[in-house]
Amino acid sequence: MTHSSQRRGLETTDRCKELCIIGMIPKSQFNRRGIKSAMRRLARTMLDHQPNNFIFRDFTEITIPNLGAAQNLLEWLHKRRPELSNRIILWILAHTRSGLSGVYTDLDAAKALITELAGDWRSRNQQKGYPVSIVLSGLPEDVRACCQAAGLTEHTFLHSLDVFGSVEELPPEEELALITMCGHGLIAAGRVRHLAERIRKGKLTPEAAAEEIWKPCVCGIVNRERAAEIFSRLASQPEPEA
Amino acid sequence: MSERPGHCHIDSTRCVGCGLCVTLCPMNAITVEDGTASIDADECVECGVCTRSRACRYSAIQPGDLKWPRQLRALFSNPLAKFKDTQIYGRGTEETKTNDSQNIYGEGEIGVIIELGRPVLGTRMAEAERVTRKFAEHGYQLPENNPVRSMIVDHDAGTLRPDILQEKALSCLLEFVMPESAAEELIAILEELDREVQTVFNVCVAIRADAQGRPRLQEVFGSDIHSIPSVKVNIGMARGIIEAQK
Repeated sequence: MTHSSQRRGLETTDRCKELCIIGMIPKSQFNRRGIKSAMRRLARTMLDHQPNNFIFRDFTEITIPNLGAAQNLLEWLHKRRPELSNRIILWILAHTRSGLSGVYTDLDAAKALITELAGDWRSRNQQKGYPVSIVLSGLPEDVRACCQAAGLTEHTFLHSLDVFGSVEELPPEEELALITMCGHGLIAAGRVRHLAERIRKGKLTPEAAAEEIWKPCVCGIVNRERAAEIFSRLASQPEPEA
Repeated sequence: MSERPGHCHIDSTRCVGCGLCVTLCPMNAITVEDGTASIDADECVECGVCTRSRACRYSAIQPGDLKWPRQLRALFSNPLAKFKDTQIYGRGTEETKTNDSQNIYGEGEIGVIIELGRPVLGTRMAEAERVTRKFAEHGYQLPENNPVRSMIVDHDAGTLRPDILQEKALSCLLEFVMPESAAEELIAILEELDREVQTVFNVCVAIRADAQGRPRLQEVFGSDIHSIPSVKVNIGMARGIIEAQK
């Protein structure tokens, strides 16, 4: 999910608009006995602080490999108790994946999350020897605010020096801002144009379009609020020439 | 029983030509002609977006029976495919994410992460070879845990195995570690690649924070360096845990 460092459309003036969080176990420690308990607690804490989006949220739109019949059961539950089925899915992911991810649009919620993780969760990890790393993506000032609130200091920065090569073939910047929200690059340019066109024709709201674009991927770091704002702007522009 | 095609495809006996799948494809490889959709197998990167989605009510979109080297497309494009060399889902690597415990990029080093093909365009593996060759000319090789390393046949020259060069992927991540003193050399390499590479590529640099946790990008590259406003930051939660165990 290196791409969270390459998200476009976030300006230096856009303080407190979004922070992505990734929790990750190093490959060398993945099978360490007990480490999944740290991931389970991370998953629970992430959900407790009301993310705007998170990994495999509303998984019912895609078929998850290897889940088999359990997916049907979870989908049945999801229709009745989505908050419960999302917790179960994250519990499963905490056991099977080395990373968990989500996005927060409320800086206070992000600060509270990091502060909570920096307390008991981190102490237990240190005591038990569970090296689960936490990474934040967003504006450096917002990251700093979280670190200061939790009494942490940043360890390593990843800076994007931008895009090189055949940049003349890329879509306009506003479309790119939507396309680059997916951690795995699975949002199609054609999909963005199609949804913007439906908004122009009054068949879809920007909020509904924002709900649509994250569905191809499982990474859960598409910021639905910012996506809806961008869709509104895109739809207010004249239809691009074919 | 007929054999399953070796790539993602549309079952024309089921397709009704509604076109709902067309805009899903990140590579724009699906078209509808004469009332039936089809997938351009050469452009398809096997990312799985169309097969995982439930856009097709008639289950006309069918996964292929992928064989080597076509499997490589899925490994570099589908986030639910697990790469056996890194044990990480998708094409990603740990890079900055676990640097507080793994010390992949140490003090005085720059981690260079080049992601070919993103955003939007995708990449042939021949473009990855262009990059590995360029860095090899300067004496830099991919680290052990990079997924592409196992596909290199000549590390000194940066040459990839020839059977994969025309395979297309959504993106391909290449990593190198350089000393901070080589910052100018890196910029010169990037300028050359900017002219030579036949797709887009993102460049990220990983640099350890100073003692107060502040970024050091300008200190290392000079005040003229351009970067986008967003950053990705390892906030040090796992710092010292592995050392304490030893």
